Amino acid sequence: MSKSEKKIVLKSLDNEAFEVEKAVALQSQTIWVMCEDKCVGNEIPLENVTGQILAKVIDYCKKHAVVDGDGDESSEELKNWDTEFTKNMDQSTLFNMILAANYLNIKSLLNLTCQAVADKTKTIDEFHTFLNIENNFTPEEEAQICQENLWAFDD
Amino acid sequence: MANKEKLPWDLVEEILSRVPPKPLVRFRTVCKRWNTLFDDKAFINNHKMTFRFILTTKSKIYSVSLNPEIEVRELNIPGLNLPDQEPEDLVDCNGLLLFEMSRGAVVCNPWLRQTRCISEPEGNQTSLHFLGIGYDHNSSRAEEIVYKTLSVYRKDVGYTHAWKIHDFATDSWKDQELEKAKSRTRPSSSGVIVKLHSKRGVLLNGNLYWVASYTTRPRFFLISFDFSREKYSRFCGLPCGENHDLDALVLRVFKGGRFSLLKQCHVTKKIEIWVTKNKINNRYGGEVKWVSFMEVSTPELPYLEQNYRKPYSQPSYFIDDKRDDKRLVMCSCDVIGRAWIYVVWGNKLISKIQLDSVVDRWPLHCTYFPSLVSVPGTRREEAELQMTRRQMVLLVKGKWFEQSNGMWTNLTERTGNTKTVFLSARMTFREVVKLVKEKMDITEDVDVTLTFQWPSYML
Repeated sequence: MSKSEKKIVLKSLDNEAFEVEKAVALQSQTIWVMCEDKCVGNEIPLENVTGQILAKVIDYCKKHAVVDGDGDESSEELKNWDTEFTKNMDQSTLFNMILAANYLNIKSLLNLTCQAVADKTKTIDEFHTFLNIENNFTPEEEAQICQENLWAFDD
Repeated sequence: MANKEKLPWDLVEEILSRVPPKPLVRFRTVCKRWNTLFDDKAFINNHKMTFRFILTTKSKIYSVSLNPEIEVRELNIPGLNLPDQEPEDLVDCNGLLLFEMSRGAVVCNPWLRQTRCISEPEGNQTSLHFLGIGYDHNSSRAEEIVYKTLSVYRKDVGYTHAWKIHDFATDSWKDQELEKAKSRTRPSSSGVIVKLHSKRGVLLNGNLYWVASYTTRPRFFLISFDFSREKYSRFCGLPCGENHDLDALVLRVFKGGRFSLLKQCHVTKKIEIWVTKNKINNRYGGEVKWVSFMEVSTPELPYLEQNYRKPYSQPSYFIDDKRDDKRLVMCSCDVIGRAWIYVVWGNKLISKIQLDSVVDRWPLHCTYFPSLVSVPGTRREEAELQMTRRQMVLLVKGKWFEQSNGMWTNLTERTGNTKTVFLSARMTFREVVKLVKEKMDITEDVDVTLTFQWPSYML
């Protein structure tokens, strides 16, 4: 196999191009299917992901491709890397990472980012802002539910 | 900063299925859709922290999950002081677990780690055997359900059994002798003896159900106890022909409102699963129709549960028919008391795994699917709880303005603008105002008037 066949170019929504090893990119089921189809060349346009997010996704895939290949690099180390990876991500990056992981169909990354949101989001207000949800209870309904589950509010 | 986009609903569920149970209860008030989601059994059953079986030894409690690989975790439930109290039986009652102890019982939601003790009535001579939890099904509203626990005891030396009912709301006991059907053996007025195959009651629509038989004939049937009428009655027959005392015959609730029955013949080891065709109506046992769900008869099948020291121990199991194939998962002890999980798929035994992290022999086990049902407190306890804890106050923002006739009116922003705060008696008024301003995103310099409790028509 020639060198060029082992590499693949991913192009983001804002036209940023990333050249990566095929093995790295193929962790995305979406890209895998696109490559199988052979209807795309060596350059794959990803119309739902910005360059900033795609760079992070590629970081993740690189790390996991290497480890999976070696097989022996401890899963402990990988876990720590994952924790560090999401630790300092702000809410908006996390939100877009979830969307990207879903679009690119990378299961482990979707698991990781969803877990990070579940761990980081502690209050009702945070969920309202993060997910852009409106509280559609009347004050009376809300008070009723709180009253029924008072024990859960006591920490 | 609010995200402008919205996540697709399946991704929201992905996130929520990773939030631990207690915060999940708090997030009920995020919006109506979430509140409904948390009552959806499918959501809870797919939650990452869900499990399927509970096992308990003298000193430890374990949960067993299958996703699909089997994982055993030790559960630490404050309020269940093992091994000070040794559990003698374990009954699953729709999300609540009833632990029968050497004296009294503990009701627990192991997922929420909530517990409540039921102590035996004072001066009780013989110890009580706890059969299950039920409620009066005439009260249809969930918040009006008053849970009650049924127990039996031996009245004198000999055959007489009597039952007592414990009421969760008042924490009191009601005592009565059995009138018709008895637990275990006792001649009834007509001379027929009724015997429960397992004392664990199965809760459905408020009633408890058991597989029972007449000792004179090998005829098995379902018997029910109705908490609204406080009566036992024969409910319906069983589908699987002749049965024997040594057969495993285990009743379970299937798909919310139906029954399933597992039978293992003690001679051939063949396992049959039957389910009722329709939802069960408490009053019409005569209308019950059983249909065969699966049959398994392969030489590798184990004898399920062989503990003759505990004559009422039975295998635990559940069935599902997702993905076009019918699956049966069983938990049972082998001849020397080691716990195993057996998975039958498409009429074949596809795996059997010994739960070797459960060290002690002969653990008690039951099928248990988590739920967010709170362990009910007494009315007095709940009232005290509200008094002693911080008061939860709901804030609603509005604006006062003076009309031309001199009347003051308040314009309230009705929805999407309520916030909750917790106030304690120790807080000063200044602190309260500061807290409210923070919560409602009001800057320091804006004047705030706090008004307490509006009549609902003003909101």
